[in-house]
Amino acid sequence: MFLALRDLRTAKGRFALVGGVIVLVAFLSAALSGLANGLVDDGISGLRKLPLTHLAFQPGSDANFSRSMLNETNLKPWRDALGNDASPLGVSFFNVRTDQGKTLDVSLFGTDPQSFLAHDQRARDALAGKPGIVLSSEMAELGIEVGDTLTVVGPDVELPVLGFTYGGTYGHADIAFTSLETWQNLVYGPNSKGRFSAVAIRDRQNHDLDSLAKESGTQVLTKSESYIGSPGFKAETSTMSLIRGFLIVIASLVVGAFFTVWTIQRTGQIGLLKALGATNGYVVRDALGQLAIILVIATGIGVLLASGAGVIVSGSAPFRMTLSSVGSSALLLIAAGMVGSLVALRRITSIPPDTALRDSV
Amino acid sequence: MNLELSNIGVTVADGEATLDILHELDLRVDAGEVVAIVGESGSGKSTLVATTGLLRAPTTGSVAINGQAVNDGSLSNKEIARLRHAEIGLVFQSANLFPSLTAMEQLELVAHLDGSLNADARARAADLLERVGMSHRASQRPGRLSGGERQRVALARALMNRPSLVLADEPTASLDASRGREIMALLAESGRESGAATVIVTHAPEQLAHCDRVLRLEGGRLRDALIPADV
Repeated sequence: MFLALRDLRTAKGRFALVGGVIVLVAFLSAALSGLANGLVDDGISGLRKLPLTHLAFQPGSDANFSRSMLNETNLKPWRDALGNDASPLGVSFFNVRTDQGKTLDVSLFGTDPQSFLAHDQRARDALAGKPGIVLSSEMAELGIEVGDTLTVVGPDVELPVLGFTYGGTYGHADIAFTSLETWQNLVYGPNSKGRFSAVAIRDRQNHDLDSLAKESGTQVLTKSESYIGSPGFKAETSTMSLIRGFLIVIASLVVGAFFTVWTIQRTGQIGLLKALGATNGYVVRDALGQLAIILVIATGIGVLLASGAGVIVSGSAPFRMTLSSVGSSALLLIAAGMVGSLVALRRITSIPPDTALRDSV
Repeated sequence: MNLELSNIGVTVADGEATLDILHELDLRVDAGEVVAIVGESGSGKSTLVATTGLLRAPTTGSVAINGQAVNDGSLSNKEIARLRHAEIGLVFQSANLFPSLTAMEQLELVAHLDGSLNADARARAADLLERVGMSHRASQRPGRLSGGERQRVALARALMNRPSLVLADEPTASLDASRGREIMALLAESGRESGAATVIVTHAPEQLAHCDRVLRLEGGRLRDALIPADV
């Protein structure tokens, strides 16, 4: 990259221009990636934090807790095989009203007080005692305190706040826990017949879960497979993927167009390099190296800017950046840029060396 | 080293017809010999340089360096590029220096092309710039050099890889008469010193005093030979 590096050094303005465009595309791509992750998080972070590995649903419910209804018959084979590592779980969305009259959305998880989901004795005691509600830790920031009473709108049942636990949301609503019995009363009234939404499973010994699912008349999914049932999850992720896909295509076209014009302008220079004895391989390596430097630096700046913007907006918008999502966005963008340059590369290899006699550089 | 062109013909498409640029052309240049080729504009001088410098293949005939034919299809494009790099030094009409490289880097690039850029190569580059009187301008880019200075750097670049053949295509065309004579003298002198065969194509017969032989290109053929004193 002898010539490429020196070209970059002297033609700063020209490279800054295309670099600026790539910075903007990288910024948008990384910011959208952060927003997509934030939205996904907002949809399933509460579920992700639960210490379960699998969920068994009613077949055909598409991992949607509202559509899935199971009972003791479905639970028994799981309990027989996994003991307390299989726990009934009820999940429903409710509005709750605070003492101050403020209405909040909650995703209410009803679980057995002895369940592995109640991760410490305090949580188990809270769920085993008189009916009450344990809120996600984020709700404490809304000024709700232990001992406050929340009224579940609809059944108009009053539940005291027993404590705070796992932070997180499900279906864009903060999660809250109650006992399975309380949840069944809220959803089905006194005639619940032991119904619940799904079986939460903690598989620590690689059981044959498919056989157990067949035996119990349920459909078993891994935790991450079950995210698809979160309301809006599929639409949100596919919309964000579509936008990111378009950005990648745009980046590829922008880089391809710049590189093609740059190559046309460099025709004399490339011909001269060949006249001096450079092979096609040398010229291509030089050109690709130059492009890779621009792409890597510009993408890095764009990603850094997006990270900074993410820190600023993280309090007011769902935004989460992970190393893997940022890394994959950046690599995809760099790869798209390199692919976009392929047309120009073909042109580079076809420039004859006698161009040096006709075109001055 | 010697260069031998035999029965060279170059034909190009001209619309639906064809045009013979070079026709049954023979040329032999021996090591250390300085040969000038003169001719009018459009007589095929640049095509002759391109063919001789392995920048383009002739339509017919053969180009041989040290008796080895290089256009008989036995060499790949990569091998021809390497041969061009190893054996041929080119000086162009407009110097053709890379705008982003300093005078020193123009020479270093030649060594970099085959991965031989090291301390020895840098020392040789510095020595060549000294020989053409450009060592004090080694860190300047072409934009800050005069036409004559650029052509001196171009000459030093052509000599960087110790070529067996130095080809100069109208090297004085963009210079005034005094600078032109200076460059011609440098070309001839460096060719003789290094033992390279030197071919200088020009349309300025008044600058041929340093050449051993002068050939005239007319209608695509080398028609007659004059000694420099007669020009």
